[in-house]
Amino acid sequence: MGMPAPRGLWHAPPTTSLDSGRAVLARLNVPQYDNTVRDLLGTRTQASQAYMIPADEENELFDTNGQSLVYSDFRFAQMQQAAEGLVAELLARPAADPVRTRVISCTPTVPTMSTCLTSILTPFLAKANRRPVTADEVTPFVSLGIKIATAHDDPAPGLAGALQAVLLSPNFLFRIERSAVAGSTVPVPVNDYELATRLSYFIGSTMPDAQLTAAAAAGQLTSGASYEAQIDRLFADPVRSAAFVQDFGAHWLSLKDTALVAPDDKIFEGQYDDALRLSTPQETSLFFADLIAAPVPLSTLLTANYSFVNDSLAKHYGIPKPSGPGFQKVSFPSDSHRQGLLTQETFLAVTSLAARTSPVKRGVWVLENLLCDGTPAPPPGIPNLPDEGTGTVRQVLEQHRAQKFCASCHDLIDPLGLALENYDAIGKYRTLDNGNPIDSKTTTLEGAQLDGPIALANFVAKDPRLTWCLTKQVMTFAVGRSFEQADARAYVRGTAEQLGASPSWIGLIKAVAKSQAFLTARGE
Amino acid sequence: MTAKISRRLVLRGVGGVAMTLPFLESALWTRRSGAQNMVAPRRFVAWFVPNGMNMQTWTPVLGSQAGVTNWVATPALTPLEALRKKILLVSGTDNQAISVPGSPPGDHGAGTGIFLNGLSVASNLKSTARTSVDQLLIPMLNPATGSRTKFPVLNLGLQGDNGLCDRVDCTFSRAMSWLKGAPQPNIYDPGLLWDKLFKDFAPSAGGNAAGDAAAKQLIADKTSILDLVKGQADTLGSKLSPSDKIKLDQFSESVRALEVQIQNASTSTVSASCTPNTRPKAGETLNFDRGITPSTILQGHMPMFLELMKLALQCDMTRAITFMLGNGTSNNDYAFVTGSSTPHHATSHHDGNADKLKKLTQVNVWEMQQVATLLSSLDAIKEGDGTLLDHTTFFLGSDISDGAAHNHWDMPVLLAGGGAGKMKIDGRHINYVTHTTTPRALVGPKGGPVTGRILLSIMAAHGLVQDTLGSVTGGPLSELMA
Repeated sequence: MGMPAPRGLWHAPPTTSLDSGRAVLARLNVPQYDNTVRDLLGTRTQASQAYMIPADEENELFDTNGQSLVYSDFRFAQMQQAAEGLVAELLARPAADPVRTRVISCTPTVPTMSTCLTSILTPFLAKANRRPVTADEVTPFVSLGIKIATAHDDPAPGLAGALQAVLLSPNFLFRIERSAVAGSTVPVPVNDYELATRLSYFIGSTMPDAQLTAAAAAGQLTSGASYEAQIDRLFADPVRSAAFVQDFGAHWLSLKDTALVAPDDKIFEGQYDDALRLSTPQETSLFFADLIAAPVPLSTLLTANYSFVNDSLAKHYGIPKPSGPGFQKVSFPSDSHRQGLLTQETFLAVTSLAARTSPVKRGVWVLENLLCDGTPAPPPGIPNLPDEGTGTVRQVLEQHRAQKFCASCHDLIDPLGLALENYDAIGKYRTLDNGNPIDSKTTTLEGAQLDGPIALANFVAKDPRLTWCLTKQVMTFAVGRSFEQADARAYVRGTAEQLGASPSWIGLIKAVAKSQAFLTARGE
Repeated sequence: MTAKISRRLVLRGVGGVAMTLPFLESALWTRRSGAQNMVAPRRFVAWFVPNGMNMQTWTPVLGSQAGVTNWVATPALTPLEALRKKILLVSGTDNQAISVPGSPPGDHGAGTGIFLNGLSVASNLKSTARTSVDQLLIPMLNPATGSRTKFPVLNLGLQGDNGLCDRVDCTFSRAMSWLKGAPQPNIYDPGLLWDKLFKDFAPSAGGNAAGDAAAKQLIADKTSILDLVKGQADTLGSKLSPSDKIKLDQFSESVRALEVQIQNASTSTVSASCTPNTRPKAGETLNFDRGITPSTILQGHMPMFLELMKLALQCDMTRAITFMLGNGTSNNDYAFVTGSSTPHHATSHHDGNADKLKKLTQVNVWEMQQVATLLSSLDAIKEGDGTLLDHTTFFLGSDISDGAAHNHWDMPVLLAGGGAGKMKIDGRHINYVTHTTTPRALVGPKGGPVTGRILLSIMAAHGLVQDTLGSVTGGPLSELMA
């Protein structure tokens, strides 16, 4: 049996080699579940908090990898609690509440259980399963409801039980796809409903809305007729774009790790407080969201001469307070030493130790998160660099060069981090380290001469690895599998090369959404 | 439709050796006053403490391969002095070869990830062979012919879902219990644990809450719902590819486990005399987003967990408990113990600094005080011919030995309890290496048997006799066995 004829967005096979990866069946992760029940049931409860659903298993920065996401006894027990609680919450709403009537379209009585349940459950099951359902699929849920109602001589528990069962079914809790041919390694386009689901969880971390579902029903996604328009529409939705910034950005930009920042009390007394810690990820979130919305080239991530600050950050950065309350977009003057992500508090603080900077951590972060060119872990038994001492951190790190064995990796890592030494462990600008003047002139492994943070930012901005690395990060998040293997990396590089000279974030996101990896599935 | 075998019963066949069930082949454990034929169930409790120890204040000076009983308690072991006869210290084992970091993981990830399952982390990141000892022992502790508890195992943790992940998936630092490659998340909230144990608890025969018809009906309702869910999974499963089916199987097993729990299918009768404590108040909720576990949580939750662990065992709600006192690479701040800032991981990188070493000792003392509290509470519960502690095998260890060197040799290990009657837990200090200096060096000598063989010893004591576990080979350690 040959593969189906290419149609719509999936044109002739790409000129890059096909990669051999496969996305394993993925359960809804925690943010996806929270958002999905919000949209399905209209709840305002954050389900994962209220019902103590355990955190997700992460892989290569993200929590969307189906292979890594797992069901355990504990997780399912909490999902059962959540299903009970969320259904009870819905049914407790006043009878005329539109949130309630959207799901509960009739009032069942024991004699009318069958017809009423069928008319409630048919659309509800379709929404929950994110695809049309047959009458045969609805019947078991109706029978369950009747069974429970009869046992209690009361329709209410029957209705509740049937709704709970929908929320606990694997068809709801997993993103099931059935288009691939079992046992075959040939990629097959996913159908419209499956594509709508993939797109919706990519941009917004939630179930497809009515418009997206309608476009799927009309075959407009796989045909390409309205695919790009839907992407634009999803991004224009502030709730969805905020979810993308959070769920992609929190991991890729280490926003979550800002909570771990714990500077040494004695050294940084009076310079770091909770207000600053809480403001830190907000700056970077707003910055990233703006980059997407603007739209600007990807490299603006590093070259932006503006950011978003509030009073707390402005004071910390030594720049004038913003003119209004809360966060404002501020431009840096042309002689500013701040530019782009690498001079933002988020990056500078999460890559530092409690008492001092760590150029190694900073270099590794740039290599892994922005250039996808990380190094192996250090070998066992290496002693820590001494904390105390009279020299600068740079002088201490010279020991890395002294040994050829260490230099092999550290010649790659250290120059990047050392270029940022003008920013101390809490991200404050300085010209002295331990009383000694800072020398932030470094030479990268490739021979580029860097003189300080702005030179570093410009170096990364122009690096050919940047575009393909960002493509790999987005693709890893969107497709839900690893692209680390050599052939997968080559595939990503091919996709990135098609982006053109200076792609924007939206351009990148659309390219990923139109990639073969995103549009197809494999049985094996 | 063929009957599905519970994954846990299937695990029983691991190693392919015929199982002899000690004592447990007799009938249900019943509690009768003046019990003549009481056969208490066996329990397994494993604790993980992160970041190793200040080994100078951990390892007693006197020790030998055969073990000596006249060792003098070091500061860290002083809290356990009263329980001396029921503990076994095992020093000088070497897990280095199988705990090496790779690319990934780092040393902490490697040591935490292998801790209770014996399978190297590097190169085995996605292996479905990773199963920890608590899971393997479940069928031994809950045999088909004997009584069965409501919870096959309880996986608990103190720190919460936060902390450094040491260059590898965070699950290798935050999970201690693994089932065929699936990390089992910990319960971090003692209130949630209490609810699982006692919310529907009613002291009647078998601890069933179904004393009345209404409660029975609710159980029937939930069972019907879960039966439908299982049916959906079965229909789906037949159409999926093998790697997807594994995911669905994890799901189906979890549904099945919840059914057992909901039906209060414990067949143990000891719960009849169980007395729950007061539900822990919902204090400051564990805010995982915050990233750092406040010391109020560490201090507040610890005694709650100790009490609930004891009750869970005493009420025979479970016979296997794993507890992570901190996650791998934990940076929990022990200022409440030392009086000044003491982030655990940072402090464990002592680099010879006397102040940091002193603080580490204080942390280790606190850790062992918690152990002593649990063990003595178990020892205060009379059960037939002994105490609950006598019917428990307790195992404690860490991911590394010295925090600055990150070495996985000369590992700190403590055993306690009865060892199912097959281990010689009798107050000895076994040391497989010889220290040449006094005080001993912070980083001890290499050599000694593989640390993971202690796990094989525990398994053998419970009837699960095998030569290998994951990357561990060589079988049990004779010095540990009776």
